[in-house]
Amino acid sequence: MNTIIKIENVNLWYDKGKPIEVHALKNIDISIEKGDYAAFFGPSGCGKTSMLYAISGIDRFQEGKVLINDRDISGLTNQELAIFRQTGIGIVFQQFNLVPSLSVLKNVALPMLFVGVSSVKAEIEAQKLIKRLGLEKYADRYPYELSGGQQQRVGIARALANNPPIIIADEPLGNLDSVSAKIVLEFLKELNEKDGRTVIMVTHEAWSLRDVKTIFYMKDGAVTSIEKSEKGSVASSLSKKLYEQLSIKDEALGEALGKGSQEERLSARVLANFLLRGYSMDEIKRFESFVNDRFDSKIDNKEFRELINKPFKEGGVGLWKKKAEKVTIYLEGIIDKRKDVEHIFSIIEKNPELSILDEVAGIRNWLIEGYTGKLSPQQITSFDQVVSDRIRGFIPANKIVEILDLSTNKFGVGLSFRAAQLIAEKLELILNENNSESEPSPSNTFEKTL
Amino acid sequence: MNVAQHKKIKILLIDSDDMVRIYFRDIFWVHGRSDTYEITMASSIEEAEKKIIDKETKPDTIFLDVMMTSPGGRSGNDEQIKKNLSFVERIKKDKDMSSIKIIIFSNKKEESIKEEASKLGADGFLVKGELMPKDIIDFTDKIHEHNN
Repeated sequence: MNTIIKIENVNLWYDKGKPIEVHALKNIDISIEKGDYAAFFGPSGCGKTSMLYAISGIDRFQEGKVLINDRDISGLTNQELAIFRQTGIGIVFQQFNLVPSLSVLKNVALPMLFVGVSSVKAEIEAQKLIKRLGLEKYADRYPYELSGGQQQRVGIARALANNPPIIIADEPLGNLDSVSAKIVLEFLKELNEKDGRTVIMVTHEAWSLRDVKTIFYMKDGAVTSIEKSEKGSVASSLSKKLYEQLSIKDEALGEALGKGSQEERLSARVLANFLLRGYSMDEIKRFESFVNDRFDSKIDNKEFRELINKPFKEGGVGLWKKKAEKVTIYLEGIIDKRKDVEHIFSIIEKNPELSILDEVAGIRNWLIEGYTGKLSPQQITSFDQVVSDRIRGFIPANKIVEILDLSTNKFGVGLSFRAAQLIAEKLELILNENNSESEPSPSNTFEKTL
Repeated sequence: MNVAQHKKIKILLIDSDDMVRIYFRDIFWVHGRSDTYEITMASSIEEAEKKIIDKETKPDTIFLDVMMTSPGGRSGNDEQIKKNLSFVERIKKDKDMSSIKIIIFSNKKEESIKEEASKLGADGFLVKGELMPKDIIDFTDKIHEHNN
């Protein structure tokens, strides 16, 4: 077997030299063979995703080398990296990352257009991939019309668009029910066994290692051990005790952080990824830490605005002044409205029968801010009812966009899809801390719509 | 499967678009074919000619964008195409060079150009927009089958 990926003494820090420095990857020195099905396995925060970002050239590491087919990608120019990411690797994301305004067919065809394939040819090829993933009848549908499992299959089809030899899957089963997760696992296995592609998965769930041939165990940014075996036997030999230990560590971490702060961290990450789309990983990480500081009231809104406006080299994020102002106002809105939602929850807690429509009306204007259309009285009534039902947990997070988008004669609110999506995102952000019991997780839903 | 075990097959891509040059070269790398093919690139006919006359860099096969612009020129105009096609003729008429395969690799798919290129001795005609990345490797393997 030939080595397709060789990682030599890689060290990666976020915010190196700053008080918030994170040593995300420590002296990583491993090889992955061509045709392997490998997994990076470990608890949250162990550096698994950073490893994928280093392999795919998304994160630039400060020390070491990542060799793909004997060529060091740390020396590639941005143009070369962009082409490598389009042709050399296909990435399957936990949050699917489909473009909401494009049909399934166009989502799959998109990476082909980036490398100069004509739109006619791209759609012909996309159709073949969609068929392979059993999604023919959904070709003209939009991502929001599909279940999580179907969206993830679109994500796999898109990852295959330019026929890359390496498939990288970042917690691909994280948002799926068990049936959908099983289907996705079957496809990953097929891409490895039938196509001969090298598949690399990041996961913290032991059961998803079923078909994996090599496991890299990770902890605190380091690979602590490597287990290689023939197909299937690795997962079965995976010590139950070890998995339990890892699970306990996960829980312990959660307790150490405190449940509230953990959720805040999550929403800070969601916000950072949303508001700073297109920025570098370093900028996003730093922004995230400032959002957390603001959530914790360690800094006020003025300090927050100054920090995100300040040049990156001086410890800021380097946002333009106007963007910094807009982002600050957006964040303050969330903080403010979270208090309103807390108040609403306290009302429900005391008397679940009590109407909360008056209180919902109080957050309506913030939710629809920026909406250019005018809501009719009927739409306002429906809107308030939907928000009220969502707060009470009667409507799951993943149905909100659909109901807001549905026409009024079908008992929806009749908003455009884009407006429905933006409003749903804002709503989930202010609910983030308060309804951890709801299913699915609101923050996940927000990320899905990005 | 390696087309040649010992000596790499030398491919020269002539294209004025730097993204296309990187893309073409790196497809062979990402698919692990750097042990079979050595890809060199030129952004103009003039630059290519220097590589062709040098023994060290003389290619086995040339992929030529017939729509390519020369410095100061306009892409795809007739004069430009004619100039690029005359390069094909020059190579094919030179007894030291005529064994070099020339593949027209561009976005132009008019039959007249294809016919003209063929008459001048071009060995193949590929339309960029109709090729998936891996198709370029498969085509290259096919035209070098006899080297196996």
